[in-house]
Amino acid sequence: MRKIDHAKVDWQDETLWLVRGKRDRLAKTIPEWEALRDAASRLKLYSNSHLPELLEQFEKKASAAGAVVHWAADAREYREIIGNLLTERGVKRFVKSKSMLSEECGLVPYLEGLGIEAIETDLGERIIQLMGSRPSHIVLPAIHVKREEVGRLFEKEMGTEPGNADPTYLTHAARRNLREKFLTADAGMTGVNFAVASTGEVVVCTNEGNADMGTSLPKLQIAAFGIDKIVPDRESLGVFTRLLARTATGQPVTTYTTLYSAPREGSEFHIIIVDNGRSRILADWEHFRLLNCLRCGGCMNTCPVYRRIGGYAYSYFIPGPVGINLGIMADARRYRDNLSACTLCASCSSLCPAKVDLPDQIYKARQRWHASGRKMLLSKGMGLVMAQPWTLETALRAGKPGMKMLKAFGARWGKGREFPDIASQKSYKKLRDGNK
Amino acid sequence: MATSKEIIFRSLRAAQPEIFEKHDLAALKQGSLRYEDPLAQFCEAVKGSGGKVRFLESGEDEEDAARELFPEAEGIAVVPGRFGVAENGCVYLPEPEGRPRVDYFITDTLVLVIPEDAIVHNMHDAFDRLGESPARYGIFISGPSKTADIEQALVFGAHGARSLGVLIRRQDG
Repeated sequence: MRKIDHAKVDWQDETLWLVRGKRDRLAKTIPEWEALRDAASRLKLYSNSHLPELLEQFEKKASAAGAVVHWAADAREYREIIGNLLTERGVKRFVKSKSMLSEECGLVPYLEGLGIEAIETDLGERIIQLMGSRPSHIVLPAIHVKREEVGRLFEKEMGTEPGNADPTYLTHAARRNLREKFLTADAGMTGVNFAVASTGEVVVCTNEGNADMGTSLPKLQIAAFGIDKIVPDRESLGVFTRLLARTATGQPVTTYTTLYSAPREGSEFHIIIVDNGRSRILADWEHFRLLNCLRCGGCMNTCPVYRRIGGYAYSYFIPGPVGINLGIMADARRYRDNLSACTLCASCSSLCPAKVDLPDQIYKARQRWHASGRKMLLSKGMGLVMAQPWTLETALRAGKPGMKMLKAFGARWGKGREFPDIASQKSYKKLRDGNK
Repeated sequence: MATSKEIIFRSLRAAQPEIFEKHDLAALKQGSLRYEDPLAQFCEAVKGSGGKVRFLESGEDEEDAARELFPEAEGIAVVPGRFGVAENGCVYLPEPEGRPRVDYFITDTLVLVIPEDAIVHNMHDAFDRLGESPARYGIFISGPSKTADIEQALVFGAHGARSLGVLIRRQDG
């Protein structure tokens, strides 16, 4: 069992709250902020209820511009399409920018299995990749990592000065290290923030410029997106680009907002459109609005549970309020334990830029999984022990073996969490009765 | 055998949710934030994003002005922009002419040149200006490349330009 670093927990809590505060300050400078959120929600409901027509339109426009459009029904197809594109062209080194879809579909391990060097180029993602870990936040992937840890990692991986943990120094070391990768990569890939049906463009928003470097040098460019990334037109981008960065990181806009449609001279541009369970969400009335999500991460920054427990406490790869619901839609049996990581305070839905009804969905999912009789393993195990006063007392009186039993029942739940210690001297009941 | 596209479309049609009509954005756009002095607001926003601004009097040389703005720069790329956005300091750049796209990113210092009357208020105006006709490529750039991935400490020069300047050309008369 992992011991909690309380100072780190406090730091994460306060830092994410600062990001939330920046979002609030910017939102207040725009009188029409609530109308923007309303418009974003309506635009998403429109596009998600007109997917066949908008996806057709996108494919037509993108193909006319010179891109090659592929369709992937599931994660396996997505991986194979990319794997084939790369192996057919003899790609040895592949640079990619942040894409939650690639995490969802296990792209990097798959490509490594094919003998391709797949390099994450977003600084946070690169730190996580070199650590052999996974992101703990969808926008701030390394929010749980302290500068000293990055310093030690870069010392080992990039030969930076021992003991130097200055963020500017380390960022510029990564810049030099990754620049060499960009210059020698055979292919570059990005995720997609918005896919515009009226023009066949994909829009990529980043601060670092890694997506732009990775798409401007190699001869092969790939962009992949889930069907829920479709927006009707450029006019709607006005709404989304005003909301996205303000909510995500408290900036007026990301440094780069790039619109891609035609391949660069002398190169290829391939676009992959992925379902992988999204049509299942579309069919589920209670969770349908999950497809509104812009993946801004705002719900994580504001969530009182997420801010303290961090991304790794969740069993699904996307944590926080939206991840709880996405996990239920991906595999409810496997990820239902996350349903408990919510106080139903509704802070998330009060700021969600596309008005996803996150706490309502969590509440309903709890009912659904309770009513069907398939209670959580934790409730079952802990419930057995805790439900009757005599079983708990017996377990507690039994001391060490009792604690073991509690831990065994909570083993799955306890993974990555800290179990409360049981008072080693006298129990409250004994103290009470003894002091009478 | 059905193609993957057919499989996806079959699932989509089977899943068809309630139909939501397209929301008319006219009222939102009409009531959106406008600035008394959009040029001044644009300059503030560029500075807020970590960039520098300098006005170009008619006849003044762009390269000289860029060098004056960044005397220490290792390499400067001066490129024309189409227009600026007052609310966030973005400059819109089309597919570059006669040079590769990477010139926007690989340079140490990027200097964008726009005419002073090419400032729109916000992103609604920006996309209205672009219209719905497809372009090969286009990009909005706001300030130098940046990251806060190490402990949320803001650092300029992650992968793109370390410094960014905007030269605003004064119009005659």
